[in-house]
Amino acid sequence: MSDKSNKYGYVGVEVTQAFQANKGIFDMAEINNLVSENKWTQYGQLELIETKEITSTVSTFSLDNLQENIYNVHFVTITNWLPSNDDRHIGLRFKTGEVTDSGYNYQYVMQRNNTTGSEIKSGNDNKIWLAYNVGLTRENLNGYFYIYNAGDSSKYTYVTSQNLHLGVGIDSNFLSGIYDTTNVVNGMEFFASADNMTNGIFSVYGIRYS
Amino acid sequence: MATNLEFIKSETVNQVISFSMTDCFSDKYENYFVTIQGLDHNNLTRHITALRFINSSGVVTSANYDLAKLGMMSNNTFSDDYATAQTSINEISADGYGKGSGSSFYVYNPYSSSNYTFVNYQVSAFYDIHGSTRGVKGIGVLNIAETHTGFNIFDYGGFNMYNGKISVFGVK
Repeated sequence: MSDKSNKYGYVGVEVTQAFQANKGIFDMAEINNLVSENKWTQYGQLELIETKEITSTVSTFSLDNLQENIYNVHFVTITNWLPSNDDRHIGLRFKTGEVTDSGYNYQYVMQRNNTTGSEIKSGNDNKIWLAYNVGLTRENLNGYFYIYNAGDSSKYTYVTSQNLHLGVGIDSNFLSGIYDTTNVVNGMEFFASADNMTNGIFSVYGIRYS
Repeated sequence: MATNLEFIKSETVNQVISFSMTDCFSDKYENYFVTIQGLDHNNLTRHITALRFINSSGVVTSANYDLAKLGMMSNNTFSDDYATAQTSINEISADGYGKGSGSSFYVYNPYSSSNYTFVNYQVSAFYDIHGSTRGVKGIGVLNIAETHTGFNIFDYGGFNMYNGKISVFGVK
């Protein structure tokens, strides 16, 4: 930022700038600098971090950019996920230190509703199932989940999600899950319960100031 | 115009039984998104947190809240819970053994003087040392058509809450 005696319109005064607390008269260069430093008041706190798409047949698929040092709560969307063979679950594991944790460090509870209701749950597992029996008639899965506390080394990491697909009728999967270690989470990995995955668009957003 | 979540305010909850998030609802937004993360009760187990709204006189404690929720436990049968004429919407968050928690909810029409205030919420919590996940999907309503400017959360058992951060966003 250029050194000006009348910085932000104030003479001889150093003004602290912050989101929701900007003071002064600004030129475009100053605004651009404050934007880059996240000190300029601009609304839109659901911030896209990354979108990635499955473009070939893969056994696992990762999102490795969470910026967990900035965001306490993340929002992830899953669009048109499809396993390579029918009737597969979609699994989620977290990464710590860029390595997928496939240990028995996961728990989840899921209410599944289609032509009937059923309880899917585990108190000690090596993954979180986000949805069951996807692709019974080659139909895609769509849904979302939130991640809480990914960057907190003193807390577990939590997930709440809702996913739906056309299985045995319209199939909804309401889930709460836990990665029950205090590891800092900096990525996640998706996989099918067997075989591979062929389609899917994943977007991860950070909710700033959460 | 931004079409997004718009940050309104954030507060830390620590060593209090009850906490009020004041002046977060206004005529600028009709609907709101709230996150609660990290909240726990130190090493106490199986705690739940309840929600009330704030009007011009303070926290609304009258029996005008209705709720319906699905309680999901990894070591027990799921339960459907529903009630009318309650004094709060319970289990807006839950936690156990100082492991934090994660929850979020939407609030609809809180500032409208001509509509009821509705909420839907979802919770994920480590509930007790036996390895039980506590998950909740719920809906609730305060069936008084009046303006609410904020909300209050409190421990349902009268214990202190710790380490929580609450953030409120307007939904554009």
